[in-house]
Amino acid sequence: MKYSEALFFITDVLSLRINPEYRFRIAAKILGRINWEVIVQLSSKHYVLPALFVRLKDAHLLHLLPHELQDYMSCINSLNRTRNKQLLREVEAINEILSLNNIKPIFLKGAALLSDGIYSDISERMVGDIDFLVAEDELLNSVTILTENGYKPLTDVPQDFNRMKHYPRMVHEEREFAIEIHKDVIQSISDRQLNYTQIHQTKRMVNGLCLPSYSNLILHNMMNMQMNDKGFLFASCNLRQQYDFMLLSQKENPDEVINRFQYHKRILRAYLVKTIYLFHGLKELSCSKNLWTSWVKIIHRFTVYCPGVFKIINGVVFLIYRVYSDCILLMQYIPEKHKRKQLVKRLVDAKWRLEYFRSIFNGIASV
Amino acid sequence: MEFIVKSIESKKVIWFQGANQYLIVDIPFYEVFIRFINGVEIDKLMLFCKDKYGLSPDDAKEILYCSKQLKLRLQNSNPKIQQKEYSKISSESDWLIYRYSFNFKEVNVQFSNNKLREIIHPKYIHISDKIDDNRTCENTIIVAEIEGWVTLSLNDKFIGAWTFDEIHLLQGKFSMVLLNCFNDVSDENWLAVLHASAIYKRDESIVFLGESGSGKSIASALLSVHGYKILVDDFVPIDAITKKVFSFPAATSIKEPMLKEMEAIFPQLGYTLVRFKDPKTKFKYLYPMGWSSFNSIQKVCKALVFIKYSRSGENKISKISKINALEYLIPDSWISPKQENVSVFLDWISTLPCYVLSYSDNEQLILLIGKLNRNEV
Amino acid sequence: MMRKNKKKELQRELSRRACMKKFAKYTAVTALGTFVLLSPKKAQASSPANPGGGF
Repeated sequence: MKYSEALFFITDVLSLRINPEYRFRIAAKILGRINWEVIVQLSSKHYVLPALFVRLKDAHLLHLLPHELQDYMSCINSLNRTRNKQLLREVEAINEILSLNNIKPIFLKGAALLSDGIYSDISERMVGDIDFLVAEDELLNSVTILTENGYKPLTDVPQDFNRMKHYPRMVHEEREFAIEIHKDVIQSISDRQLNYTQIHQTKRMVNGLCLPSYSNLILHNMMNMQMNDKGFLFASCNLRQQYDFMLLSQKENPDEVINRFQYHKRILRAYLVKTIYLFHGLKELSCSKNLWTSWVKIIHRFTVYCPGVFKIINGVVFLIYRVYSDCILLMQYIPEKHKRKQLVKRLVDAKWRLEYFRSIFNGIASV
Repeated sequence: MEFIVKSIESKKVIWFQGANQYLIVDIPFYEVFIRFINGVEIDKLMLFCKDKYGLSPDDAKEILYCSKQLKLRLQNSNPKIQQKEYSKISSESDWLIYRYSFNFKEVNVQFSNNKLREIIHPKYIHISDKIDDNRTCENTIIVAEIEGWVTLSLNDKFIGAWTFDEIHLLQGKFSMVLLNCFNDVSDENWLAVLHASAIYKRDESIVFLGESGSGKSIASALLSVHGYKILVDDFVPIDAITKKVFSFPAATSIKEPMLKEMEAIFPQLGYTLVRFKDPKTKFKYLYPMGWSSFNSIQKVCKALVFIKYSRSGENKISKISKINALEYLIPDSWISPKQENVSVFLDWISTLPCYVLSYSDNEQLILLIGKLNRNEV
Repeated sequence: MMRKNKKKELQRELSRRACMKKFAKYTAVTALGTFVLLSPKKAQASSPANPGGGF
């Protein structure tokens, strides 16, 4: 089974949520030749296996799958449901702790979407940790309060953590989920981004929790993937994020959201084009047609139909990007004496050098 | 393409002989599919889809492509799994030999080792005698381990071989062979064998169905001390001609955590050996003591009851659709692949009342079944 | 200004038509209903049980 066939099968199944009439098309594919190992591998890689199960179940298509596969997917789904129920409990607990101290956290990403009830079944979404946003001047206070309640940073806190969009990840011995306290949603390049003020001004209350507006959820979804995760640079896809986007697009028109947002229109429109290309169910969504969107579509066709070649190109792009960003970092280190000493110390350490090259290798493999 | 179509409630149930599969389908899709498999031209089909259902050409093409894939799947017979075959298997002097007696018939049963005996024999201890010689008997069943395979033969004719992972298939086949020996029939005479438990009162039986651990056997055992009798546990044969539920003298298995409670009701459980379904799950056999343990009994099936015990659940019984019943029943049962029997099976189900019963309290179970028996549901 | 309004009106009309088309497709195809394909057990089987000793 080709990569493109597997990818489109998964996105077609996910699209059943908004296009239940795809059922016969998908039934025909399942009755034909499906390499379930490839499907499971690819959907697991993108963290959408539980969503796949729920969509097939709702469309009464599960019976067409091999029994062992049904059992496996059902098991994964069941485990994820239990996990997400726990997540919702922990979200409430964090909200309560901070609210008692007059801090209103605005939950983001998976935690926000699950709390919003956008999924037909809470088992659909795989969530890694709980992200929430607070004002910059409330960040340290939030850290202190949560530390007093048993959370502690997973790694050493760097001195310049203020440069980062969130405080280092914190964990709790008795809680399942790690937390990330954000002061920004995008790894800052300038003020030209979705910021706390914009999100705070239009937040919604859902069952006592503060959540971003649908527009901001859409913007965050797009910018997170394209900018934080370098989806724009590497022309990559992330089915979990894009599935969320597909669901959010039923709440607000993404094209209008992009039009209203002042910045990064090209990058955001590129995301819209690639998601519409992958998810056939979105093909009726409006998107301005111009040279840029046509070019993006060609690139994404190439990534889908020539994944091997695309991976090599991406490897080269990653190397160039890595060299560029390391050079920038070097420029920052050279003027200061103590940083120069630190750099030399690292360069002579064989272990550090090994880790450095390993990180480059892993980076190439991941794109 | 050989197939049978039945209308059950608002759907069509189609059985395909080649694949031995059942397709339960809503009538609108059925109208398209049946025309497709009957060879109606594509152009006419497209027009039919447009006129009757307002489908666009693209949508109609999708439906027809799906129909084509479905037809291909249903046309192909199930590939025969390559099984080990052995010619005549002869017993040896150190084998374990028993005589099983039931319904005035006797069957010699021989096990090549203790391990195999422990898998099969405990269910039938109450109808067996250990014998030292291989006296002539109308039927002789041999269960022998050869080269890591567990083989089953009847009267020197090889039936099948299974690995130890498939042991429940051997157990099922053994039960079937024994059933046929006790009733002087063959597989063709049975409509279906349900993975269920059955009880009876006077002339009617009630069949309990459900997943493993749903409480079928416990329900049967509890009802057996409240005016009902156990007809059969775990293996419910339905006769193809009379459509009656037949008894079969296998013991009822009572699993933890109900063992203690059941020992209070059935003191004889206190003297039977504890066995293990798996390293964590204990169970014991409750051996039948009534007439059904010695003689074949057949009862008309009054109803199918899908049972679910839950410690904190509600107590209620309600009707369910026959289509829902079929969707559960088909994958969990052996149904005769003979065309005439399939037709009878589908007709039988379409007239049989089906219920779902959930209970958390034994007294409530008795009351609800009583209601069902008196036709008050 | 007039041109902008006309453009908005046209966009709205296209969007409405797309919605109706989608709805029509949805109702037409989903009206066909579902199907379920079931296979009975190939052989009579009893409940899975591993043998174990007694004590």
